[in-house]
Amino acid sequence: MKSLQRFWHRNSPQLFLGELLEKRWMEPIIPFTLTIAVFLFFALAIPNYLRPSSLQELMRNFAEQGMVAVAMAFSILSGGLDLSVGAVFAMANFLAIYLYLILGLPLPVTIVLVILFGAAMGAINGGLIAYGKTRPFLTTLVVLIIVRAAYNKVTVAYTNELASIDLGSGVWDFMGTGRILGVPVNMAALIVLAVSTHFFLTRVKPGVHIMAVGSSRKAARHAGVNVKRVLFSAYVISGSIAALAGVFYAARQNSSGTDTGVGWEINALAAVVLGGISLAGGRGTIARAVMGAAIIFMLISGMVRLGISGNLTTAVIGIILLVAVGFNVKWVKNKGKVLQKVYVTPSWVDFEPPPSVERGSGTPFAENDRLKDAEAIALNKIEGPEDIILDRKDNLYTVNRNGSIIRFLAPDYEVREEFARIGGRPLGLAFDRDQNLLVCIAGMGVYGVKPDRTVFKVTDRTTRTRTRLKDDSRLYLADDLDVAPDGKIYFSEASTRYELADWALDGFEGRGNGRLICHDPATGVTRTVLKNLAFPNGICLSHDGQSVLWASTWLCQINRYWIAGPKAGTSELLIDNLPGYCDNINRASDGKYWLAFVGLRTPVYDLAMRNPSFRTRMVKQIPPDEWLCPGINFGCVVKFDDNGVVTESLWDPGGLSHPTITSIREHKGYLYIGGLENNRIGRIRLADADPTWEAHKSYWERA
Amino acid sequence: MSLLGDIIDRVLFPNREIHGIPVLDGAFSPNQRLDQARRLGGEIERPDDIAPGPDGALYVSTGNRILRCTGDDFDAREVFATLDGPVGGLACLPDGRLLACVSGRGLIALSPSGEIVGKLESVGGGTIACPLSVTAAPDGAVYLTDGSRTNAPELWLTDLMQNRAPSGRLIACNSALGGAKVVADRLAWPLGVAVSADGREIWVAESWTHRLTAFAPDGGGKRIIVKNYTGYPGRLDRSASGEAWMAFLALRTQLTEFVLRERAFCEEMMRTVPSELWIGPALDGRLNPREPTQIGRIKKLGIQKPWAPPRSYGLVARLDADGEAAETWHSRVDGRVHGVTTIRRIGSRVLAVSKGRDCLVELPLGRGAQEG
Repeated sequence: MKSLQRFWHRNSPQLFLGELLEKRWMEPIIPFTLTIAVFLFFALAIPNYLRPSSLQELMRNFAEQGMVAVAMAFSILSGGLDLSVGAVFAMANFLAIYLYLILGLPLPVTIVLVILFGAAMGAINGGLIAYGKTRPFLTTLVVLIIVRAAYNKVTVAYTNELASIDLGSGVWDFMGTGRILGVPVNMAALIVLAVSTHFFLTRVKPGVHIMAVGSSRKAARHAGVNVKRVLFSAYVISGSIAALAGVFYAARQNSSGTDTGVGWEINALAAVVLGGISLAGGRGTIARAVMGAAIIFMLISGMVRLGISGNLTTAVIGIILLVAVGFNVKWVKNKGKVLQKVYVTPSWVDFEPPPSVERGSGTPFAENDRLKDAEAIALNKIEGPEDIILDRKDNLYTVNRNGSIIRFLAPDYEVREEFARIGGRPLGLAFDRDQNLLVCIAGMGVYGVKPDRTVFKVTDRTTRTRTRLKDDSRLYLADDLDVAPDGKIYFSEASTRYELADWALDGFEGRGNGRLICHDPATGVTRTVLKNLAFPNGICLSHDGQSVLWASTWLCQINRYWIAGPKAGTSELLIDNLPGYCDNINRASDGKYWLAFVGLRTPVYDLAMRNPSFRTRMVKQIPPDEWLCPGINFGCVVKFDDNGVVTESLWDPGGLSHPTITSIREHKGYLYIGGLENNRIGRIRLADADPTWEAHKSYWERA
Repeated sequence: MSLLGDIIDRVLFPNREIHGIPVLDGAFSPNQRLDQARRLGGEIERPDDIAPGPDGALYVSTGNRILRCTGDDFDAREVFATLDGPVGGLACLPDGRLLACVSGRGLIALSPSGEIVGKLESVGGGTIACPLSVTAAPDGAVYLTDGSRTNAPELWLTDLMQNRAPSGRLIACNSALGGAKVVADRLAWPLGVAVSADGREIWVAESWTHRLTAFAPDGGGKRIIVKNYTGYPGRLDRSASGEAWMAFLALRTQLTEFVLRERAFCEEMMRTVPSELWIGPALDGRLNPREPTQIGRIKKLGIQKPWAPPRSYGLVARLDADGEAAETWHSRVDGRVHGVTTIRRIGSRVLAVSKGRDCLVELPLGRGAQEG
């Protein structure tokens, strides 16, 4: 039973759900489902609905409505509204017939002129709205009324000519009734239009500017976007697309009735809203507009075919729209909250009681005062020195929480200078053979700084896990690193599900969200070596260069991953059930290793780790500041050897000057101490250490 | 599912009172005035209550003993009596006798020379095993509170975390400790008790239900004065002018309230973890490396934020004649006067004991100290 529960919590479907909801393409899920549902409903309710001829007929009738919806979408995405699309569509329909069939102009000229007409109507709208600062609703309503009135006038005036038109050419008929690969030409045109406008809005600068202006006019202006021109262009595009729809309609119908395009602007508006495009602008896609249009079209045509009376059809559509839009609005608004509620998925972690840390308990972990009198370096001159390292000239390098690498100059470390500014949150540090300073940066990847201070990127992506929904190819939270004798860089990514600021949530999960990654500078290839590790940390090459030591912070373990020798490629547990949460590991001068405990285990937190549902409820019910978390106000430093035996510990009782110890570095007889949240670097003299030992020699000058 | 339950609950019981934690606001706005309190004399080991004697001396209960303190700053201290159980609430009678609540024993009266001269060990056939506080009314009646039927006063945290049905009592007797009767029953750890100046009402502060209630001496006329405090109210003191003083053991936190709802987790925690490491309020603010930590308490750049979720806290309040807080003194999370169990007005001075930090302090009074 227990193992079943454990299995459940380790592989909870909630994980999948959480990562699914995170996907951008989940936003139009409601219109998408509704489209499928409506289609399936009519496929079942109407005989022969699925026959190719029936489907072709449907598509043929739908295409122009889809185009008008796309035209409407442009204006709405830009933050406005274009009510004149229906009238422009109707007028374009008339113009195409008049210019081509009555005046006999060549077809290409006709098409260009009609689209120019649409663009001109859009220019009137856009000019007034963008430059005249009129309201989109009123402006386009006026244009709608004027164009509609003109249309009614001209159709009456040319009734006789329209009634006696000649049939057009083959190309004209092909536009109206032809098929490309079985798809009606106008539908094919809609598909091309939708794909190209989608591409335009998401990938091409003027299109992206339309979205930007729609999202926030002010922010777009501050970003240097010419807001007026962009608005103007959005209406011109909208009018042109509406006119294009009119051309296809003319080719199909060869007639221009008084009711052509009546109410299409309302249908288009409903389609856009149903598709989930925000009326406030800036949010939505062309695909959503087309989906919304498809739903409305299928409902209307389907109910007509079912023989339902017109009034009832309208009422049913109204109700469905209301419900769908209501749902969609709630969904778009609350998707983030739902995601928040389901994303954190704690797993079951069993802990044995750890060795005692009580003073005088006789264990190597017993509390003592050895760090109490640590000398403070850089007091209040540094914010959050997660890792520290010393170069061959004894200068001290550390990371700052603002994204820079700070150097304190030897010998007294009074002079502070910014060595490099990279950004992100720099964490683990290491020197390679050529004295390049390599640094893991949360949110960015692994970067390097040459001795002449030039910054270069080492890697920011690795192989993607194919079985996972979430794209984990980008490095989320590179944490600590070390360099192997062959120059390969081994580094840990602590979590692929959370950013550094949310480390506590990763802790609540206690799941293997992190990985060990290897980058080979010789080939430039980055590959994931070990997956599903619980907050891997403390990467350190063993003294013999044959293995990488890594710590699992949440599981309080030290592991060894063999990179050479007979066991190369395998990982083994070196120390289990430590009394603290492990952070960085670094070499000691006596052939052992220093390990920083970022915090101490507390019995209550251990108990909570055995209760995944308790942690889930806690995350949901109480505010983040009140969450129970690992006791990281108290840390200590311990030393262990290659056999996994802990030999001693160094304490700062009460965590007065060194709470949250995340790193330690031995250099020439001194031990340097850094902390993720601290305002200083500590230093103590090690009485029994080799005063000439430095890490660079240990790594690169071995016989 | 819980969301659905909440919605149904809101629909069916729209007026149900939500007993959430109030924000420290109004008169309870945080300040640092309690940290400015002057320490009187040296350390006293976990003092619990104080009582001024008619002779000007101050009696302090600590462990199994009662100290008699004299001098301007009460720094001349001698053991007045040693009893066979931890001593809690104290009160002096006008005739010089000292009443003391002794855990597991009941109420004991001591003569001015320290001899036991009277006892009240049971009421209505049941023992008084958890006496918390005692006070004397102007008409000579003595009111005693009994915290719980199941736990001794030292196990206050256990009693809170067990979250049982309230079983505390308010007991009245005469000045000879005879004629005891239960005035009110089913009280949730009634740590505070005070008689109004006119003797017509007895105010009782219940720690675990965070409220202040008034009872008539015959047990009728129950009236809730304040129904929801941010902290766990402790002892009450009433001065002749009508104002009252209230100490708070600690502040409630969202995490503690959450764990109180999580019964299975809470029971397992109580069974397997030593009580000083539980999630819950504490009196002392001294950090134990293995105590539970909350995100807001993580030190940033070496600083403990004063607004962090408080495991222990120092808070005392002056209440007006209607029981509303008029003025408060705080020692915030980074402060050093935590876990105040008693506050009493003695002449023109106001003294308090910090059980958490082992000291007797005198409060800074007056407006001048307010801008702290």
